[in-house]
Amino acid sequence: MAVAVRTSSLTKNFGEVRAIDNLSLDIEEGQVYGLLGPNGSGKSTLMKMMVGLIRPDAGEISIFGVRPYEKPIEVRRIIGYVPETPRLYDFLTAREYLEFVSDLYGLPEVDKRTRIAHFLEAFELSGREDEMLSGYSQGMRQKVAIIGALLHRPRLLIMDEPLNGLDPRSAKIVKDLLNRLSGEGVTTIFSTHILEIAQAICKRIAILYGGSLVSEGTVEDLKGKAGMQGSSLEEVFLMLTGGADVRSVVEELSR
Amino acid sequence: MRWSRVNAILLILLLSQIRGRGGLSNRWLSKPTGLILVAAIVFAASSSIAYALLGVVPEPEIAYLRALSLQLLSSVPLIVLSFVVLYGIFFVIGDNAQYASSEMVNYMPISSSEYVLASSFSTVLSYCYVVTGVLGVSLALALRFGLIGAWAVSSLLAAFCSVMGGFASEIIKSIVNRVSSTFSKRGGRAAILSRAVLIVFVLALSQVFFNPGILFRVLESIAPRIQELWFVPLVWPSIVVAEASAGDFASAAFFSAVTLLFGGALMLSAVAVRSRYWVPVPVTIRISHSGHGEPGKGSGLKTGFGSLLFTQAELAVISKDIRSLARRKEMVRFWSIPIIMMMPLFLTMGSMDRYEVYGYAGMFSLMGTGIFGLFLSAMSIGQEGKALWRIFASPIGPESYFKAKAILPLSLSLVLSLVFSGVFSLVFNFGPNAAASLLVLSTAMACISVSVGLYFGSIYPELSEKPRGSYISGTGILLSMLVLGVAGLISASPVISYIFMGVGYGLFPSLAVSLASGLIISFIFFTLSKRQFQKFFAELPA
Repeated sequence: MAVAVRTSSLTKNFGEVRAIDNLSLDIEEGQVYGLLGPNGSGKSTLMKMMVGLIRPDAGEISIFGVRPYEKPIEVRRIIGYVPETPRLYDFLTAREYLEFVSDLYGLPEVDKRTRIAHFLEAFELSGREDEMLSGYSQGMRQKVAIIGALLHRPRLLIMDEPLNGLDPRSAKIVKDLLNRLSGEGVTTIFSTHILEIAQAICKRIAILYGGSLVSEGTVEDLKGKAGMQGSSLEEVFLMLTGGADVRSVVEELSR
Repeated sequence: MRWSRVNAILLILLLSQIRGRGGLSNRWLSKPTGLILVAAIVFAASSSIAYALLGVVPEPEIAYLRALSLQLLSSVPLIVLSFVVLYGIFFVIGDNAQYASSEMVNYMPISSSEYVLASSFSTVLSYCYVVTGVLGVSLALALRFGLIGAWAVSSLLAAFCSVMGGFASEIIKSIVNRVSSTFSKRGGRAAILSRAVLIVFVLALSQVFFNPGILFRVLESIAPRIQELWFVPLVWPSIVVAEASAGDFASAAFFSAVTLLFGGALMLSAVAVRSRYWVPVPVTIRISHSGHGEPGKGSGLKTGFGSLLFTQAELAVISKDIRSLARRKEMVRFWSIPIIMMMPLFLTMGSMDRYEVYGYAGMFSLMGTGIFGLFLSAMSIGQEGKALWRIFASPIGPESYFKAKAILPLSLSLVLSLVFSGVFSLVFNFGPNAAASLLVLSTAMACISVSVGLYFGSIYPELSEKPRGSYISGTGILLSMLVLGVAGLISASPVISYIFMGVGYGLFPSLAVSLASGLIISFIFFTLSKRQFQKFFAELPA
């Protein structure tokens, strides 16, 4: 399998804070790859560096062999990105927004209309596509952002907590879609705090903590590396990210 | 009503206004105490500078000033009222400001009177340095001409008028919000257009009513007989100052009482409209009714001539920005610039001679085109807000983005320069020379303003979506206005020198030099902007 994303000794600082610390990672093409980590662990920063939104301070990152900060346009043509909090243009309708995104990617007029209609239907937004996004709920905005990432049929999907605010049906559609796209060779990297979802759909998982990679592999690999074969992914995650003391915190709060 | 609650809301609203202005990195200055200190400094500086200037003014002008100073003192309350209303109106324009800082009245245990008082005081306090500046200048006049008593009365009334201005702003805010919300509920493009027209109308009307330039002209003609306007509540405070200075204390007391009553009536009205409308929640706006799953019509830009000059991605950005300009309430204010620039001239032209009309027409054309072009282009990046990620994550390069961002403000500013020169030339019956001068200077100004705006807008974009989103930082807008002023002056100087000093080889050679210098300056700034866009695209701003 070819490598879709490769990072080597990748480092990024924001002032005094080291967001990504000497991170080396290979993500193979066609995988659904999960990025897990507590808040502030560097997941979003890593994803932004993949899209070329942030330049690394040291180390290397490449997308299908191309450095995103050197050839951002080339890389962005093949990437679909959903940020953690997708801010959309509130003064546009959903249809106008999706047409705008299609035009940015240079989709032909016929493909554009067909695909927009198809996705709107799938995500149950048909009939509401001519309403301004300012009136959309968080979940509906999330759906529009996800559609915007899928319209141009990217080779690499980067989704930062894509299931935020989605209703169960839409979340199921996204999960099934990721599996199907994986079968078609599309690589998906996504972050989530819902460990059951990660366990269910990710072929491999990386756990980040304080900007560093603390463990990487399949779910079974992670358990094995942590010496917690009989445990759940949640227990492994909490142990690796210093969150195992939740019981004492809960007791303190409930006093 | 609980004053502790008023105080708490006031503090929050004040902080939101102060910090929403941008450019206040200083921790101390971004607090209400910092604002009061600034106001005190402005008062001390304005009074000292004005007093020093009065010391060097030649005797004939001093005599004129002496005669005018009492009228000026009596005008101070009205001027203060105008400023507070004017700035209060600006606050309502931004959608973010409207919801971020006033939506709490919908769900917090706050009464409408508590909110209205707090909001009015916050409007007054956040611009108190303007009031102290006016009071400082008037103090200098009072000290110089022995009118301390009149100044004391005038200042007291000015303070009261500033609060009245706060109440008036509250009324306007509630009504504009309500109107905006009602139109939005109806939906469709017609609703958006109607809302925009109405907002422009309200803004233009409000600003003309409270325009100090117009007020001064009016005051100049009516101040000597201000008592004749006893039926206009806005001039009651001025009558108090005039009557108190003339020693008619009974009349002064009467007008003081009715001023207080008028202030009370304004407050009650503000409370009434606020409790009737509260803060409308954002409503869903439906733009077209193409039906289930059917494709939209698309933009006319994308077919025909547009597709020859621009790429699909560039046209997409241009289309989006046109929609932004038409639909966003805070962008609609720029449509009112031409009207605001033309109205004072039309309203006061009766009292002007021919040369004054030429001068003012030139000034308003250049200022109108310049301000319009500058603001539109300076906000081009900042208006993306947090949605800028969409551009950065898409395959569009800095050159294309620059091209898309430059063409819209440039086209609109050039159209506006044509409108200004055409309308003024037709209405005031200008000869061909005057009309050509106006057209050439306005055209040069349109190009300069857009190039300067793009440059500073790309260096100092304001992308945060905080209250009163300005899309460009305070430093950026100040620098851009300064540079635009200097560049505009350089470009216009050949024509000005020829007209006023007879320097040059004739009008048309001077016009050619003006246009050429304007285009050269624009070229320089467009080139600098293009480079700045490339730098800006290196990394998504935090």
